[in-house]
Amino acid sequence: MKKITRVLAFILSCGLVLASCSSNTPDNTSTEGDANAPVVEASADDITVTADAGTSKLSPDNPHTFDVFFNFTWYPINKWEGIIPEEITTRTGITLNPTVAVDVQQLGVMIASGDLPDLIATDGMLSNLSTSELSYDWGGLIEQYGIDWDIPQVNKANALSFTQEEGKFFTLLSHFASTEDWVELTRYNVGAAMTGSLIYRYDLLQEMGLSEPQTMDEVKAMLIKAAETYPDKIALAFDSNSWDFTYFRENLDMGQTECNYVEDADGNWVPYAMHPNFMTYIKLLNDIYKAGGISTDNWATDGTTTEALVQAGGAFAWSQCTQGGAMDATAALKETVPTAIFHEAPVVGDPSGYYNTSIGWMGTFISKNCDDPQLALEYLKFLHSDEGAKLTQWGREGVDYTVDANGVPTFSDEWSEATLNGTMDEKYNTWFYFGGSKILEAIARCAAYPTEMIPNYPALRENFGNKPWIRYAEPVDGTDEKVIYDKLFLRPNGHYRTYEMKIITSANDDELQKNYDEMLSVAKSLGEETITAYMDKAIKEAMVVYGEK
Amino acid sequence: MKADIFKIFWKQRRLQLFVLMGMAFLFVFNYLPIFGIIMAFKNYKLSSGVLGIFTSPFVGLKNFKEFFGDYKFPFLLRNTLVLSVAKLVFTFPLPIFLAIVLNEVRNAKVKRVVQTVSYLPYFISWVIVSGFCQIFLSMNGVFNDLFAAMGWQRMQLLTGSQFFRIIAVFTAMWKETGWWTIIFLAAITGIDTSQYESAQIDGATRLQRIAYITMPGILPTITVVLILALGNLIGGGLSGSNFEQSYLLGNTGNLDVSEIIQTYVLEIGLSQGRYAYATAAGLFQSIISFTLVLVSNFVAKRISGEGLF
Repeated sequence: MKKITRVLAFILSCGLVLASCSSNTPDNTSTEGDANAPVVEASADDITVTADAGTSKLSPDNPHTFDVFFNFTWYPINKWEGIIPEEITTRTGITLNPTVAVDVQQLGVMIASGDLPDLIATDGMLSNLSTSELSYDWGGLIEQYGIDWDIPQVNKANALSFTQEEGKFFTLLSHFASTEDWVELTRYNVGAAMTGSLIYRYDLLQEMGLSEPQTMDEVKAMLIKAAETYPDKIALAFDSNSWDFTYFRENLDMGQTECNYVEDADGNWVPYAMHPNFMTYIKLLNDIYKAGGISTDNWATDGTTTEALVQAGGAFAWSQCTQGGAMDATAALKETVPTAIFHEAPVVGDPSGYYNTSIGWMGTFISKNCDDPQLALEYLKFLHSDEGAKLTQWGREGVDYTVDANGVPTFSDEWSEATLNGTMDEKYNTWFYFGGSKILEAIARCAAYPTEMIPNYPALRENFGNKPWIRYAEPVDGTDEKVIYDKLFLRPNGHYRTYEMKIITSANDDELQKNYDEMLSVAKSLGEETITAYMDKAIKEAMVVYGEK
Repeated sequence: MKADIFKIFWKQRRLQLFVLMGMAFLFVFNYLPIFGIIMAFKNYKLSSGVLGIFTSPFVGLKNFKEFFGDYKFPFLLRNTLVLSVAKLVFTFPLPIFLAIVLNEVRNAKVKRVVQTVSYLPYFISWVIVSGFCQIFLSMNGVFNDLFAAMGWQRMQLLTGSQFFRIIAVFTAMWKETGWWTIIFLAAITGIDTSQYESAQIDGATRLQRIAYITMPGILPTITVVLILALGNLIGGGLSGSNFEQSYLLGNTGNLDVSEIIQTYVLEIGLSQGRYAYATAAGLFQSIISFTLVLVSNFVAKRISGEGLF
């Protein structure tokens, strides 16, 4: 017995030794004890998080390479190459060594194993990474190294919404734009928000003798006719893991696919499947499916496969997004079908349905494995600055663009040509925009687009909105509410998402109604009422944070 | 006696070094992680670090109760068992059959070609196999084109729940049969040829020789392989990984039959970061597997007198 105890004790101590060896806490002193980090108050004012100003390490004379992991399987670049990365290195001395995720679960495995690179750029697992165990707390670094950085209050509030440690923020999300920011686009009179769009073959539309659809019924009729006329093509292709059927949702006042909660007529927040237009949305897609316009294969393939299908001429329409899909698809297909041209469909519903719930997009975390967190943060500060954001998204001022007295840019012919012929990524490479702005992005991407290809943009410029409080209110990891929330809404296999496919592919109206009722009753058994009560309260509180109502 | 053992060990020290390396590998990668099991009984959060596995609060069977009470549990258990049993039933006899058939083939060239062709798929990864499936089985794939040419309706082979298990079993048979055939062929080779000669002199037919010499001769191998297959039944047994098939061929359309405990563990553990809960679900599967090994070993010993331990 003694022997067994001794053996067990030995094994246990080995386990503890190995476990502590693998713990990724090389330097906890810098970020622990951050009790003095400023508490975010609801205010539109900027705050200043500063200590004694230290000496910046960011300099062209101090070259340094950071490893960075992009948690996006679709990310189009995996090399630090192109005009913009070269210019970043010239100005900052920083070079990046990027790795792009090959699987959506990869970051989870990396976190579990502790094998994290210097920087992690992600839009998922934000809460998991927002802990001192894995990442550096930015407030702590700012204080420790005396970095002079005025961080807008709202951006900080966004990051604090998913942190695991109260008052500490471990990243700042890029691409946050409020509804007011989006209105700015009307001043530039160019571009539109990145949002749902129906991209379709305009040349085939003319071939069918139809004109540009102006109502949702006409959109439906167009897709059904395309299914009949071109049986070898998929009438409506989509990517179920990304933009899904956002165009249809938005035109039916339901916001983007990420809008899991919507406001009902009484001002209460309910799951999107209880929106009064949900049935209309589902029946519309069901009709297109029954006419042979939707292939179930799209639920089994990823976005890259769908994109390749569209660019090879295998689809009539593609439920995708604004800002480039039509141009890229046209450029790709023109090589084999010179007459092919894609247009984006106009806004055919109430444009106020075009909104997202964005608190920002990509968060870059400085992992505890980073050998120089000060330099990393100073680099990220540069990218979040006006200079950095413009450099990563507009290129070099005076070379790639010039601005008039009102700040409206005019891009060089070379830049415009690259946006139209699909060589933007390899030539300029705008993808290292950790502090990117949605407004700058929209302008840069769309400046050269022929207006006839994008009839939806003027309405989007006027009407696109953001309701960040919906996202802000989402429960954080480790809570019971989060468990229920994920069971219901997580993509692609959350309860509502799985049933949505089942309903859309119903054989007839009776089956559709039966599947819909079943979806609601199963949701209830999963705790839908509990989470809805929680979300209703949390969203109303979050609206106050953003100064809404 | 002790000194003798030490002497022998010292004599074999170079060889023993290899054994030690193997043991160290097993210890580090198979035994040491067993400590992680305690996570299943704790309220572990990633923020508490690796040492949090030991220091986080004990919650007893809470995670197990949640797993058993989850609305998905019956489906997960059913899907895992049905897929595993179906694959075992259809794929286990096939390599035995093929080995016996190959053993009876007298033309060495044909034998070699069949053997090579049948075991090559084993070296193709499941990722590639799933790629093949997407190409061949999509709505515009070869099979559906064939159906359409015959005047049939196109079928949702990739997303239809009714097809997932058939595809999983068939691809497992295609991919794994050849490899396991080698094991049984090796066992057949070990049978004393004089038995066949005697049987032939006594007038035994080919089928009788198979039934009374070949089959009993390879029975110990069949037993060992069967026990191992049963032990790993839920992981896919002989016939490839259940996880890889379900993960790669599963999608929103066939989720009701393709989601198994292993993919659920991945989803919950890595996508949602609920490591403790995922550990409980994984441990449940391990307990079933362990029980299956014990039961199958016991049954095999009672029936054939052969067993692993």
